[in-house]
Formats: sequence, structure tokens, C-alpha cells
Amino acid sequence: MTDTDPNHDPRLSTALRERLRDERPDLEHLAQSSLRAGIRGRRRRRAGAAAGAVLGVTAVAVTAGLLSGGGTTARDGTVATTPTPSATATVTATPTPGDQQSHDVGAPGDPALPFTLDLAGWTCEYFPVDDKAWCTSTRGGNLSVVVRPAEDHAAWAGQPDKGADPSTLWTSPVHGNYFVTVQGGAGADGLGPTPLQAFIDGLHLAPRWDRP
Amino acid sequence: MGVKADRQAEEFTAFVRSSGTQLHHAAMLLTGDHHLAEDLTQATYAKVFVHWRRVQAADSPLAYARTTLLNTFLSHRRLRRSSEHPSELTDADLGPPAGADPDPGARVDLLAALAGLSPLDRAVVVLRYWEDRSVADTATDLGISESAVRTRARRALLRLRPLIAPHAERTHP
Repeated sequence: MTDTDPNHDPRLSTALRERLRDERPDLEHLAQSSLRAGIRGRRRRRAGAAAGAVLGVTAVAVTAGLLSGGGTTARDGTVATTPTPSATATVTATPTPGDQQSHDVGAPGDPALPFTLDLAGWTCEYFPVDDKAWCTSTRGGNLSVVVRPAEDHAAWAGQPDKGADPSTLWTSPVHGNYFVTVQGGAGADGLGPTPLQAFIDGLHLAPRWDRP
Repeated sequence: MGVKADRQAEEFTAFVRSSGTQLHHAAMLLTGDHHLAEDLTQATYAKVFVHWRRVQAADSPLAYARTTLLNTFLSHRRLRRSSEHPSELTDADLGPPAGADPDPGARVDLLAALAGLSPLDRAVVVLRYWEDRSVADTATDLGISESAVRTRARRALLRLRPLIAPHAERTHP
């Protein structure tokens, strides 16, 4: 490597490697959880592409109908309002009952996660594919809120490497089939000046989570 | 899953097994937190799997994954931290190096100090000192100028250098 930085200090590389020498991720868990999230991401991507294609076809069909029909729309509403592609688009775009329920209780504009944060100065960016949201505060806070299956609750509430870890600030009670953890306390920006209880009070959790 | 999907899953799993430790370590340095690092690494691999065929066709799937990791880490922070203007960074922004005159009784760990840097500074450190990337490559990867890379690396080094030797003394008495 040709390095053009006279201040480069290779001792830092050595020191960083020394610090992480004993850090061993659970690769099997990482592979399986990533695979599941990736599969969900693919499904969501395909669904989005299909919906986009249907809307595109609808737009083309409607435009073509208007162009070929001249003033038909004004004179005969049934011709313009019942094109076949529109019916297809309606069916495709209608949310499933699960989607609708999630949308009612989930984050604004995001139908996939079962919680919202209503706390002044805080905003969340939702990553439904990862079952989590990253929330940041204008005053320097930085946390992640992760949705987890209810069957994992005992492990998160009791194990020293999880629930008792200082980076896990709070583990919620089980809500139906899920719970959430609030994480990011150690070494990161964490809550900033926001009291933990205020953050918890700002979280609104749905009674259960029907994953789309 | 079909046979093709099964094969993709197996290949992807093998890729995670071979590269997961390296990526997780980079995520640790970026986030400064074990659980956030797990989340970041998983989010990265999920994105990699979505584009798995493209990743496999790339010259270096690991480089693709590393770039995805950095972009995932930086993207959500960039949205929130409007004060991050790398092109406007000057020496005046450097300030006094934290720990330039460290008190041995209140020694701050290297990783904790790293977590105290700005996200972009951390990304520079990871690329320069963990991935051993050149100034030019780091600038390209992060979409900033080489001058900004040098400035940020120097700022990070000023803060972290005092913590290098003390840790070695502590872990190897």
C-alpha cells in the first residue's frame, strides 16, 4: 500500500487488533438471522416492484384510453373509470388484514414495526427488514429499538450477556407475541440528556405484532 | 425454497461464516457497542443477500459487503447530523486532543475513545487502521477528499494515540 499520509501510525492498527482479539461473533446465528432478514427483504423488494409495475401499466392504460377516447371521459364516466388494469391495481394495492393492523398501530408511514416513539426531540428511522429502528435525538442521543420474538424474552431479561449488559437499557414486557429492547447505552451516544423513563414513556407498543 | 434458492442460501451462509468475524469487528469499531455491532452486521448481510447474485459476480464480495456496512452505518447518521460537513473541516475544528496528557488513574479505553469520535472520523479510522486502506481508497470509499481523510485521520490519531501504549501495559503487565 502506498501511503501518502505522513501522520500514519501503524501502532493504532496493532492496538485495535489487540482490543478485538477476543471478540467472537456467533457466526451461525449471524448467518441465519441475516438470511431470514435477507429473504424478507427480497420479498418486500419483489412486492414493491410488482406494485410499481402494476401502477405503471395502469397509468399507461389510462393515458392510452384518454388519448384514444378523445372526450369520452367527460361524456361517459363508465368507460374511463372501469379499465381492467385498474381493477388489478386495486387488488394488488389493497393491504392484507395483517398489513392493515400493523399500519394502524405501527410507525407513521411504515406498516411493518409494532411501535412508535412519541418524544419531543427524538426521531426514528425504521428498518423493518431488520426488525428495528434507529432513533436519534437533536440533543445527541442515539439508540436502537429492536423487535424480538416473545420466546426470546426470558433470555433477554435474564442472561448476563444480554439483558444485564449495560448496552441494553431496557427490555419491555411481552406484548402478545413480541417484545422490544432499547439498546445503545455503552460506548455509544445512548440517551444523551434524556431520562430513560421519558424514553420508555414515549414508546407506544402495539398489543401484538403481525409481521407482514 | 427451491434447489436454486437452497444453493444460494448455502453459499451465502458460507460467505457469512468466512467473513463474519472481520465485518463484525469493523462494526464494533464503528458503533462502539456489541449489540449495535450485531445489528449493523446483520443489516449489512441482509442487504448483501438481497443482491446476492450481484455480490457473487463482484470482484471482491467482501469489499462489497464492507462498503455496504459503511454505507449502512453512515446513511442513517448523515440524515440526523446536519453538522457533519467534511469538506468544511479545518484545523480549527480539531481542538485539543482528548487525553493528550492522560491521567493514568482515569484512563479511557481505546474503544470507548473511538466511540467518542464523530461517525465519519470512526469510518476513516476503520478504513485506514483496520482495513489498511490507502488515503486515496479511503477517500473514494467515503466520498470525501483525500485532504479530509488526512485531517480526520490526524484528528482521530491525536485523540487515540495516548491510549495505545497504556492499554498494552494494562493487558500485558
